[in-house]
Amino acid sequence: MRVTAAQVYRSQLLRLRKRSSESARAQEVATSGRRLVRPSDDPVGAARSLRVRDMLGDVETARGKIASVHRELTHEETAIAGMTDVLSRVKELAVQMASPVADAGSRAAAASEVDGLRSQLIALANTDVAGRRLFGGSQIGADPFDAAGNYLGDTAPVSVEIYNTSTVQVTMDGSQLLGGTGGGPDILQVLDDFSTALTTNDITGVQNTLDPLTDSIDWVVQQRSLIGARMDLVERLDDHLQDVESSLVDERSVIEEADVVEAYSEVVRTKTAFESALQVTSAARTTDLFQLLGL
Amino acid sequence: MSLFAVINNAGSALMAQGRAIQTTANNVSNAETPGYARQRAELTPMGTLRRQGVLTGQGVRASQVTAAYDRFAQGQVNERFGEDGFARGMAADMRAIEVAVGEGEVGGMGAALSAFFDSLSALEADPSSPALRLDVLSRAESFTVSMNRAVQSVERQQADANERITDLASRVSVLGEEIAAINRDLVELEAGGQLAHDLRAQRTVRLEELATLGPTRAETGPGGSLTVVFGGQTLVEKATSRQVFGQADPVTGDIQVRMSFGTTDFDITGALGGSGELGAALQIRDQVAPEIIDELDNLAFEVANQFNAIHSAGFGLDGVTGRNFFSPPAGVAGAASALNLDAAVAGNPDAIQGASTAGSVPGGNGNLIALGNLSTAQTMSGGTRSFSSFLGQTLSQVGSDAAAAYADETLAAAGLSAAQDLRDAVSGVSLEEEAVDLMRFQDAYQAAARVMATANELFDDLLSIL
Repeated sequence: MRVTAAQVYRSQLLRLRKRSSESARAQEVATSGRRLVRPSDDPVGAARSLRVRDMLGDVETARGKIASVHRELTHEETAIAGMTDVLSRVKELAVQMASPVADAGSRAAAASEVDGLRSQLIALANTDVAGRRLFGGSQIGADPFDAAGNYLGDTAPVSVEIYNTSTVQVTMDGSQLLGGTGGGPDILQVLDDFSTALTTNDITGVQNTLDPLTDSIDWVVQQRSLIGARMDLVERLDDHLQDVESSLVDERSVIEEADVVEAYSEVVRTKTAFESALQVTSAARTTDLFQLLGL
Repeated sequence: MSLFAVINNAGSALMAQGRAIQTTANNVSNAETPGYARQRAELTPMGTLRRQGVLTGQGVRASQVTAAYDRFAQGQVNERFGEDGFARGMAADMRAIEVAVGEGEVGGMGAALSAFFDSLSALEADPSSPALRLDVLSRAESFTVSMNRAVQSVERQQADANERITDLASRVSVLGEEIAAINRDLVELEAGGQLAHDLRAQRTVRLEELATLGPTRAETGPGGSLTVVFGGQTLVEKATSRQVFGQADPVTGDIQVRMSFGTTDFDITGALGGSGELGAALQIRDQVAPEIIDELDNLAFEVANQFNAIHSAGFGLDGVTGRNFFSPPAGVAGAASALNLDAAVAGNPDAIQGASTAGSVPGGNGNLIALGNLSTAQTMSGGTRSFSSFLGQTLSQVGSDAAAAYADETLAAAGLSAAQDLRDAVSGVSLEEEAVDLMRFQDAYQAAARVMATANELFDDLLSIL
């Protein structure tokens, strides 16, 4: 085939253009650190990257929710631990006051202490975390118990769904915990009865509160262990999500990010290729028969 | 022997070789001229005469300068120009489109959609938090804005392609006129039997440009005039050409390419697909862009309607129910560019209806859980894909279309170059060959001059005897 000047220049131009666009692409990858900038860089990767980012967002949100759920459960547990202490003190008093040694005066003093402890119990049930009441079911905005011990919350505790799989109950129905609607003793009523018995110096009445008080402590401890189980669940879920998160981060970097060493060597390779193409072009430019013959 | 005959003979050689050197010089000068076909001085022996019973040649003459023009190879080149124009047009538009819908480094629609659902999910843990509610609204807004922006960019690209069709059509018309004018001059000039090479070269250049615009076929007719068929219709015949222009369809507003025919004109748009820049503009306007817009519209329509259906059943912090979250789309078409927050919700975080019963306000999050579940529910593509995976599929489709367009662009450029190489192998100027020719004709010229000198000396010798 005859080779013409135009042909030589055209093929050199094509090659130079190709080399220079390769070089530009390699530089883009190396400077941005990403191999996936446009969908066409890797059409399948583009969809995968979207999915992985979506899942990563879900995991991060789920872990954020776990942190907030865990914080609230911790406060709940602390509040219930406080209730246990209060009830233990009440039981201590009951044991002392059930004794025939106690007289009417000490019973009256104990009655006022029991009333104080009852208020303390109500205050603990009105505990809030950043304004969110923990023992009023869905009614998180207002105290679930008034001073008289009437329950103002509802019977629909809030649950949070975490990572589309686990539903964790966060708030509690205070009427179940202290009002006896959930199968446990009506603790506030028990304290009321105890206080009345003390005030009226009714020793039998005092003795009769001993068993309900023991039941009350058992009930509250049992509720506390339920919360412990929930905390345990979210902690384990968080551990699992941490693993998922790190594997997703790995996957995302495999899809989107450039291998630094490879990117750098690609820059050098394409630059060398471009420069040698340039040299070939200028070398080809100097050799034609006219110049060789000095015509 | 007639000394005069020898001198005449050598003289004809000097003239003929001189003409050959001149042709070579012209070739070298035009080595890089587009459309130029290598020329060659045809040397033919002059007639022989019988002198004293012997047949003697009378010398040489440059009878005609011919051009090495390969019609078949040029036809191939024209076709490749069409492919190249199409591929370049597609690649240029795909570059803009894929950036418009792609996620890029900072994230696009996909990232915004995912962030929106994440913010809803975060609100579940604390449904009465004003900060989290505001976050949901701002994420929702950035999702609607990124949908609007992406679909509007594609629509702009589509409108751009539509306008480009008018410009390209009028360029076709201009080229047709120029080819017709060249036809007229060329037929006049070549009537004497000589070939007007420069005009042919100019005509080839215009024909090649026409081929980059759309499907072009050319046929050389009697007298050297070129008949050009564009989009299946005769554009140029002899010295007349037809007008081609773009005109908006009264119903759709799409530009049609029309060709005048006497006093009337007709639509040739249908015959322009798949080739040249016009073909690319039509492909973008009628197929690529509508497909993407349709998918984004579908996504926006489904997101808005499904979200609204669940949202309106819930209760806001203010205890109100029945509000939409997104403004309900009028229909699938245009849903993506019209997607925005409903006026009842925009700027009013308490209006997010997160509780599933009026009684469970403010702590209830049942409706938020139901809304959050939409993010993974397979509600798109006939119940086989979630919103995000549907968007991923669209992105992946755009990405592979763009990658294919870029590959086509490289391939078409290489194909064009190969066809040009094939044509140039016949018609192009090879400087090596011209250098050799130059030496050859120079040697021949010198030899003829030498013959002339020898004849002159013989003549002098003869005169000195007398």
